[in-house]
Amino acid sequence: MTTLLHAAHLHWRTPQAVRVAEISLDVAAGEVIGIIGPNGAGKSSLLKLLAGLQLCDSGERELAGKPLATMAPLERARLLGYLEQRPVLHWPFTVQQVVALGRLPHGDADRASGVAAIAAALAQCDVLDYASRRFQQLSEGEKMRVNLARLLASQPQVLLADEPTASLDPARQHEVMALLRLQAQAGRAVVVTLHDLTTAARYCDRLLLLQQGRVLASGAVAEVLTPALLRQAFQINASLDTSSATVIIHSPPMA
Amino acid sequence: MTRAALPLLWLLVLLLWLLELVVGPATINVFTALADWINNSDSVARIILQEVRVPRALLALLTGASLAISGAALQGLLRNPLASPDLLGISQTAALLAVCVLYFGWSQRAWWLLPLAALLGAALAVLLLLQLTRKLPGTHSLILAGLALTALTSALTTFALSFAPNPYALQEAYFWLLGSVANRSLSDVAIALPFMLLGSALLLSCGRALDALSLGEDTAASLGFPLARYRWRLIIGVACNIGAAVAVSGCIGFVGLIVPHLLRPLCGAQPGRLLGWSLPGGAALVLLADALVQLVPASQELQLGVLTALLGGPFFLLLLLQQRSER
Repeated sequence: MTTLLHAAHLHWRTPQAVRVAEISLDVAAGEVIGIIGPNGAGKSSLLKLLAGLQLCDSGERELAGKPLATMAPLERARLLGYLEQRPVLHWPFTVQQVVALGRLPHGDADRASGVAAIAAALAQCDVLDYASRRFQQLSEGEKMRVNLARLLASQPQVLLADEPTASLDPARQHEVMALLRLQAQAGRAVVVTLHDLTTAARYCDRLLLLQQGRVLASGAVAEVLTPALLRQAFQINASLDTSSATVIIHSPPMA
Repeated sequence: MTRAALPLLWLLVLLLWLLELVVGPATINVFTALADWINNSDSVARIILQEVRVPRALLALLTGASLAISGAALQGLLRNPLASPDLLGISQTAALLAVCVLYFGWSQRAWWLLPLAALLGAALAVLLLLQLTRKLPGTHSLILAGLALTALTSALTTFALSFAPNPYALQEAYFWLLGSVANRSLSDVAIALPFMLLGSALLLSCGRALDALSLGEDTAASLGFPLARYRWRLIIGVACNIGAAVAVSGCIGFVGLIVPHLLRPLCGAQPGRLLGWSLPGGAALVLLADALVQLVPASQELQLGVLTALLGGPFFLLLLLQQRSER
């Protein structure tokens, strides 16, 4: 499989803390990679580094075989879509207008290619029916689907989503993750940060478990979600039920 | 409907500009005056048209367009519907530096010193506000910061004016600060036009960046529009427009606030699109307001800035109430 996103030995330190230390990651087309870890582990920081939104102190980053540092912002934006944690919208846009923002890197929202991409993204995320509604009037689940449609409208090869299932009910969480899985099946590379371990177990091909900015474990779901690693990272007694891909917590958080 | 409305708006600007040539205390035949101007023959009508009405109408058009596009750009940049050059103290900071140049008589040495000082004042204020918005997020904090800046610069301007060499100079500066396009010449148009053209071109080139910024700074950067790359272009664009407008017509308030709000129902909420619409929108509003101040019967003509403030004050309060009810 083609490696679409390559990161090696990433380091990012702020005056307050080490945000990311010695992290390497390769993401291939068709893969869904989950980044998990407790609060403050560096999941969002790593995603920002991978998206090229943050300069790293050292390390190398490549997107579709090209160093990220040498890419123009618009060139990078055409290849990589980033969905931030708690996306904001400052003006009363309609759903259609929000999704059309996804074509900004291409500059063709009014041309045939852009109109077709916007229509396809609206349909794919099942938001076509309320394309003319105000974004602010939608429920949280609908808003997330619209944001995903905006991400897909730019037709990126790599999708990075920072906790896209946060504050969604289980059914909406499933919708969002199923949509991201579909993108991987279509040949895109997907990296997603998640808090819910069962969601991570069910929808990700590989996991990266972070603790204090460093990789505690990485690999297949069953290799990462072991009782020992879960105890070390989250201070919980938990295990993975492989038959149902569910993480079961056996007792309250340890003292 | 939306696409057709923009040419109609420009047509309205043309009609209001022609109206500006007709209204005034003296009754003249504009066609005769124009014929005299073309034939280079002297007549009172020609002098009134050439020396009074054309500069006034041109400055009303240019000032309105500049103030409105600056207001639209500031609202997009700060992502705040209550942002406008005068409410945030940008116009007043520009006026303070302009008054200093006038006070020391530097404007006599070089014609460009007055607009440059006003431009620097405007740029300084935008920079300060950008820093403050990072430390004080939220609509109301920004307005309060703008209020503080307005109070400070207004006090400093009054302080500077108290050293005016004679009462006539003080009165002249006072009326200039109130905002007006009356009694200006074509040289004022020549001073302001290059800065306004440059400023508007810079702002119009940031349209897509402002659209992206609707989704926040991180998402805008991920869409290929990092704010750092556009920040200076926007600051210089606003500074050129406000600096030039203040230098030639004083502080005409509320245009930058009102026009974007009036236009959003017509052209949509995208900040990038709003920039292009604000040019004719602002021009139309100021041309109309300036025609009205000339039509109001009064012993002394009402200042344009006073009329826009009379319209803008209640409008601002309505916006505040609307924001509160939306929360």
